[in-house]
Parts: sequence; structure tokens; C-alpha cells
Amino acid sequence: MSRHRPALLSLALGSLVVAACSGAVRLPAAIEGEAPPTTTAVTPAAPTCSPPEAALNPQRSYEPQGPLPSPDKLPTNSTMAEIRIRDKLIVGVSGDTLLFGARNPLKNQIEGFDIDMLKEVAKAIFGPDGESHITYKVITYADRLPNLEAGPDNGGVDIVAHTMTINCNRWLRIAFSSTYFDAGQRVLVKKGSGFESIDELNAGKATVCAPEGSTNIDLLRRNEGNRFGQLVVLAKPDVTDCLVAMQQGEADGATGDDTVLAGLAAQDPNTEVVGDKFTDEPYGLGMAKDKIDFVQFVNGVIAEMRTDGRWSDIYSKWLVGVLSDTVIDPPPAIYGREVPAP
Amino acid sequence: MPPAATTTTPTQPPPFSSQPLLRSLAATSTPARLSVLRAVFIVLAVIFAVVGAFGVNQRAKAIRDVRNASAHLLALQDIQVRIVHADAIASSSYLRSGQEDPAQRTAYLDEIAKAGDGLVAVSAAAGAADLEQLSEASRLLGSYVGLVEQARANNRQGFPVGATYQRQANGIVTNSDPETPDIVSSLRQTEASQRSQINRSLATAHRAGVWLHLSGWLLFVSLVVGSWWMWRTFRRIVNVPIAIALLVLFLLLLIGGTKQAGAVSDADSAVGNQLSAADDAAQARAAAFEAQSQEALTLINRGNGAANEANWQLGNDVVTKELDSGIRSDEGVLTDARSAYKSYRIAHSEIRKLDDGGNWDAAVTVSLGAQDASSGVNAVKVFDEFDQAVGQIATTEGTNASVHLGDAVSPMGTLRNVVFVIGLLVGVLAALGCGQRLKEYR
Repeated sequence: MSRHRPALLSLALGSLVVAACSGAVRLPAAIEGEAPPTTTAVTPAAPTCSPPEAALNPQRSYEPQGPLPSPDKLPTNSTMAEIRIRDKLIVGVSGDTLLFGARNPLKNQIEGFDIDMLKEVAKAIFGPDGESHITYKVITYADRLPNLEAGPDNGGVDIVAHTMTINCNRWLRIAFSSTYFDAGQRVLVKKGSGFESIDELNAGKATVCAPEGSTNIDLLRRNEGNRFGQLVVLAKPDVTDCLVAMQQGEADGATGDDTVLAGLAAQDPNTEVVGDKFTDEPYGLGMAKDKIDFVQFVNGVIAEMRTDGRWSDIYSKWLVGVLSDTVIDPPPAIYGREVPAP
Repeated sequence: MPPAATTTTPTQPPPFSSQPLLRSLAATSTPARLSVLRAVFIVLAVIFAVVGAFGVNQRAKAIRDVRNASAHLLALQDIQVRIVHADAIASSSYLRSGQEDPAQRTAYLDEIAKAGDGLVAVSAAAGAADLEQLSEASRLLGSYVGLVEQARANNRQGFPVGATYQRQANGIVTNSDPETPDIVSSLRQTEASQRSQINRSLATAHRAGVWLHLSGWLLFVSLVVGSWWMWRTFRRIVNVPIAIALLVLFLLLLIGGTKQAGAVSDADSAVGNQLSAADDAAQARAAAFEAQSQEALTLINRGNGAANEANWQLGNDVVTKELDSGIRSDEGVLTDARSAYKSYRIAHSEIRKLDDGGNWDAAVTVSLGAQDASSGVNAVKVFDEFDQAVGQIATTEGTNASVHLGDAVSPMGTLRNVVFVIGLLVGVLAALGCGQRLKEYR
């Protein structure tokens, strides 16, 4: 019997070891996704105007060179002639600024004040069917200048109509047409809220929403003269987030350009744009800095629109009953910018 | 007259250990020592019957826990897939605006209803910690549905603010901000808790095997040592009852141990193969729907969709990892899934190229499958093919896992009863064996 004892003990111990120590299978944790690494381009600091430059009126643009040429008599080798040969005008627009540049899902078209301005430019180049030669590129606020700097041959655009304020610093990178619309910062409030201006909102210690990164929220945060010191400032990624914040009771009001706020009010009849403008935001059509002939041409188009009633028709179509009760006068053209020496 | 005193010549008992108890036992008479031995056999046999049966029962219970937690995990993943699928439908439908496809609307409502029912069902079986997460998911699902309806209503009137509601709704389904709750995170936390439960229960099933062997081999060695002592004392080679007890016990430990080890091995296999494949397929499916939803949102947020495209990349990364090395299942179906997803990725690249190049309308048309990509691929068709293949893997492997875990646990009830009865039987046989020798002293 003693001969078998080591064997039996081995069997018993083996069974115990197998029973106790065999490793269980493990169900692994859920797989996490990883985004591919992105290379962050080093963006050079935006140039800023010197004090003497800043002291000049930024709305000065290049004066048109005589009467507007007809589409079939565009100057040879001009930017307009190149566009006509290319057979398409590439434009940068907003896709979600109702009344100025937004997709109409029922028509599946982008439409608005800015879009109609571009259609007139296209007609001046291509003739009555000009709008069929437009290629739209929806871009963000931040992409407006880079698209003009890149140009149509490098994925950019010929012209931008995107509620873009003319200012001196931007002139250092692009060129503007004469002012085609005088906007200004105002406030959107709920109807019946009792607030009639930004000052009343401030006095009521109200919560006011503005898009993060916008000049509008910068103004509130700078709080010059302690005008906005009592406001609770709510930052949201986009201006339409501010309308949602108001609809969800998160904000009492929203601030932004009156043009944009009018678009928000059109989407919610329980809101209204109130108060006077507390900033001036002159809008211009943006073009490449070196395409001065194109700027002069577009200024000629806008000049004709001011006088022949087309500007008023566009205003009436989009903004009467929203920003004003009747058609207002178009902003006057301001020229005088010197054409740089070649 | 008792024959023991005259017919047997007990030899000098071997020197026992120097332990005081054993020294005192060695000093007692042979019948007394036999009585003590019988008592030891009976106690060890009862211990084996109880502890061995307990061990088998523990292993069976642990495997049943694995099965329940697996079913819970698969149910949670089904809910997650339904919700991200519903979100993908809602996002795509938003792009269609007034031309919403009634079949898509029905599919959306169906997925939301089934996800809601699923949440109620899993909540009923959830522990306190999971219940909190599931309640959060239910609450968020209600908010999600409300936001989608607001997005839809605004979109149908042509109001761009609808896109913001759609974006908010998607942020409720999933977002990257750890401070902002979302449905997928809540469900994934609960799924992680089920994965831990499965792993814990499987480890318990492994450990539980030791009780049968520890108590069984202790009894077996005691019977062998006792028999050896009786052989030395009485010069009888075979004590029939004890020999039968040894044989029965040995066979039980051999066959029962094998059966028990087989059960846990089957459970390992079910978890490591079928359940793992179902788990991976469900993860791939959910990630793909999230990616599809992000593709639509990139187009909805015209020009502002960079963050959505980055999220598409995250979903795509999960699907790619799962298809390349994660899912282990039927190669034929898996090859179909890989091929379809590869085609979808090509179509997605073209959609992005069209949109980035300013041709938004064409990008939408290709994304909605109304027009093939220039490569001849229909984005919706190939995505559906991928979904069907991966869905088939998830369903088939999930069912197989459940069946195999059920098969693993089914013989364990009988084995537990057999261990208990045979433990007691061995005790009786050992007592009889000792009794035979004691009778010789009467």
C-alpha cells in the first residue's frame, strides 16, 4: 500500500491544484475609439491696424471705374472675365442665418438677403441667368477670411456674403465692397417680458446669452463704463443655441447683430428684437485683397442697386415686418480708398 | 466469548506522531481505536457530503450568474444599439426635411419604443448601483425624444434652429464631456458592471471546484490510511465495505471532478468565444450607428461640422478595431461585414470630399443613398449590409452563448445530489467496515 501512497497523493494534490488554480477566461472591457492625430497648424497672429490706419473710416472702399460694363463686354483679363470664362462664381455664405443666408428645406435652396446680393453680382457677370452660375460654399464665421485668402483655385471662393462687418483689421487681409447693410448689436427678448433694451436687462440682473468667441460677448465682458455689470452672461457655441436657451428658460435674452436676431425672432413668434443698436456693424461683401478690379466692379453693381430699387426690393422681401415696418434707405456708398501702386 | 483476543495477534501499532492526542490514542485498546476510526470516517464522510455538494452547488450557481449577467449585458447592448440606431435615423431624416420617409419614421418610433421597453425590463432585474444609471438613461431618453420632436417641428417649418435641437438631442445620446450625462455612458457603465459580474462569477466558478476535491481527497486518503492501519493490525488484506467505499469515492472524484471541470470549461468557452463575439459585434454595431449619425450631423451643421467628423472618426476606429481583430466568429459573415464596411468608408470619404469642396447637395444625396458615390457604392445599401452581417453575428453568438452556458450548468444539479448521497453512502460503508472488525472483539 505504501508504494501507491505517492501516486494517490499526487492525484489528489493535482486535482486540487487544477480545481483551484485554473485561470478563468475574462470578458475584456469595451473597446474605446481613438481619433486620428490631428496636426494643429500654427496660425499666425491676425494683423492689426496701426493707430493712424484705425483712425480712418474703414467703410472707405474702391470707387467704381465708370459705368458698369455689360456682361458680354467685361474688360479683358479682368477678374470678372476670368470668372465668366470659368463659368461659375464661387461664393462663401452662411447656411443657418435665417433671412440672410440659410437653407430653405422646403425648396432645398440657400436663400436670404446676402444670397440675393450675390445673385445680382452673378447677373452682372453672366447676364439674366447669372444665379444658375453660382456655386455655393457654406462656411463658418472663422472660415470667411481664409477662404478669400486661398482663392477659388485653391479650394477658396471668389466672394463672401456672410453678415461680415467691415473693419480696419480685416482690410489688412481682404478687401471689402462699399457697405451694403448697416447692422448693429441689439437684444432679443421674450414678448411680454417687460425688457425693452440691454440697459433694462442689465438693471433687472437678467441672464443674456451670446455666442462664445463673438464680438458680441466680448463687448459684454469688456463692460466698458460698467454698462453691463449686472448682467449674467451665458456663453453658447452658436447664436441659435441662444434661442434654444431662451426657449428652454435658461436665458432671459440674447444679444447679437440685429440681422441675426431678426432671423431668430422669425423662428419663434414669442420673441422680439428690442432696443436701439448699441454698436455699429457695417456689412460689406468680402473679396480677395488683390482683386481690386473685382471690388470696383461689385461696388458698381451695389451703386446701381441703391438707385434702381433692387436693394429696396431685397430689403422688402426679407426684412420689412421683421427689422422695420417699411423699407429703409440703403446705406450710402463711401469711397476714397487709394488703389495701391502695382 | 469474543474471538478477537485469541484469533488475532495484533502487532505493535506503528509509532504515531509525538502529538499528545495521538500518543494517548496509541495507548488505548484496539477496539477503542477502531471506534475512534469509525467516528473519524463518519465525520469526514458527512463533511464531504455537505462540503462537496456545497462546492458543486456553488459552481452551478456561479455559472448561472454568468449566464444571467451575460443575458443582462446583451439586453443592455441591444438597448444601446436601438437608441443609437434611432438617433442615426433621426439625424438622416433631418437631412430629408419635408421629404421624411414614412418607413424611416416608423423605424425610429419602433426603435425608441423597444429601447424604452428594454430599459423597463433590465431595470426590473438590476441591482441598486445599476438601477441609478438605468433610471438616468430612461430620464435622458424622454428628454431625447422631446428634443428630436422639436428639431423635427422646426425643420419642417424651415427654421435653422431645428439643427441646434438635433445637435442637443445627439448630445443626450452621446457626448465627450464627462460632466454632461448621456444615455450611452449610462448604459456603458451598466454594461461594464455586467462584464465585471461575469468575470467575478466565472472566477468563483473556478474556485468552487476546490471544495469537492479538498473534502473528497481528504476522505479518500483517510480511508486509505485507515485501511492500511487495519491491515497492519488485523492482517486482513480486504475489508469489503471500505474497499467498496474507496472504489465508489474514487470513481465519484474522477467522474464527478471531470464533469465539474467540464462545466466550468464549457462556461469559459461560452464566455471566451460566443459571448465575446456577440459583445464585440454589438459594440461594432453601436459604434457604426454613432458614426452614421455623426456623418448626418456633419452635414446638418453645414460648415460647422468639424467636431462631428472627429466623432465619426472615433466610431469608425471602434468598428475597424472590432472587424480587424476583435470579433471572432463565422468567417463568411465576418468577411461580408468587413467588405461592406470598407465600401461604406469609401462612400463616407467621398461624402466628406463633396461637402468640403462646397458641393453640399451632392454630399447629402450620396449620404442618404439617393445617389451612388462616384465609386459606384451606395452608402446606405452597404451600411445596411454591414449592419445585417454584424447584427447576425451578435444575435447568433448571443444565442449560442446562452445555450452553452445553460448546457454547462444543467448536469450540476444531479452531480450535487449524487455527491451528497455518495458522501453519506461512503460514511455508511466505512462504518460497516469498522463494525466488522469490532464484531471480532465481541
